[in-house]
Amino acid sequence: MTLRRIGHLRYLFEDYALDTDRRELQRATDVIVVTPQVFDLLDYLIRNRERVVSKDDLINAVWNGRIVSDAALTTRLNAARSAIGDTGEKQRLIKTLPRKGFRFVGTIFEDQERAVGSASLATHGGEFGKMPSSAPRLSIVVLPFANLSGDKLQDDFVDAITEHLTTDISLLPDYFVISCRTAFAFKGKIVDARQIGRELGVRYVLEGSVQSGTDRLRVNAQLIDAESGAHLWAERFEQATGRSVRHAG
Amino acid sequence: MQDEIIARLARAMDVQLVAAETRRLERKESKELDAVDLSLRGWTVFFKKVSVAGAREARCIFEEALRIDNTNVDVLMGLVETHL
Repeated sequence: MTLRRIGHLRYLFEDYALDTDRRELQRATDVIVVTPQVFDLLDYLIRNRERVVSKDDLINAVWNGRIVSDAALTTRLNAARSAIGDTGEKQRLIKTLPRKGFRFVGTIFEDQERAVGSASLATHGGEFGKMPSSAPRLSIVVLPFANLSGDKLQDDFVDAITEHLTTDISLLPDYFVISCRTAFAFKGKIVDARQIGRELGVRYVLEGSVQSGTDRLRVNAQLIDAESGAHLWAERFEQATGRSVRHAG
Repeated sequence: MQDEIIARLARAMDVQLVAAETRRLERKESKELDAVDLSLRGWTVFFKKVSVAGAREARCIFEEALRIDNTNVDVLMGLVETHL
C-alpha cells in the first residue's frame, strides 16, 4: 500500500506544530481544533515573526480587508493565544506591542516534510497543479457515526464502529485516510463537508449513523464529494443480530 | 458480528469511490495517467462489467499500469483478479 502525503511545511514551536497544508494545529500527537480565522491568524503571525504586524495587516490577511471590530480581532487573538497555551497577561508566544501591533516571539523550527510514498508520487506534480484543491486522490475522512438508538450506553459501540471502519478503509490500496483522532474532533458537530474537505485536505467525506436494537443492527452511510458537496452514494446495511449488540461490542 | 457489516460497507464504499475517481480521470490526458490512475480505471471496469469481456478489458488496463509501475499492489491484485 502506498502512503500519499504531499511534501509540506510545518512550523514547530515548543510541543506544537502548525501544519499549513493540512491546516492543523497539533500538540504532541493531538490535534487542537481551531476555527479557520484563528488558524489564519496564527499562520500569518508565524510567517511574519521577524516583524511587528499591525492590526491592519492582520485584518487584511485574515478577513481580506473587510471592516471588522476591534472586539472581533481581540476575540480571535485570545482564541489563538489560548490554543497555544498562552494568555494576554503572559504573552509568552504572542506579544502585543501597544499602538504598534503584534509579534510571534516563540522560537520556530521549520520542518519541510519530505514526500513519502511510492516513487510514482513524483509524477503527480502536474495533477495537483491543475486541480482546484490540493487534496490527493482517494483521500477521505470518516466522520464519527451518529448513534441513533437513543441509548447513551451505545455511544462507545458506535465509536468503535467508526474506528473499525476507518481502519478497514485505510487498508484499501492507495487510500489516504484521516486518522480517527482527528475525525473525532468533529463529533456531534454540524459541519459542512466542503469546509472539512478544505481543512483536512481530503476529497471525500463518509458519514453515517448506527441504530442497534436487540435483534438487528442497522448502519446508514453516505459518501460526499468534499469539493462539490454532492452526495455520491448512500446505502443502508442491515444485519440480524439475534442477541444484544451491547455485549457484542 | 458488526465486523461483517463494516467490511461490507468498506467494500461498497470502495467501489463507489474508485468509480468517482475514474470519472475525474476523464478530464486528464491519457499520457498523463500513472499506474494508480490506470489501476483505478481497471477496477472500475472490473466492478461495472461483471463478465469475461469486462475482465479482459480490465486486464488490459492493469497490464498497461504494470508497465509503468510493477510494484503497485493494487495493480498486481487487479491482475490476479482478472485472471481468475
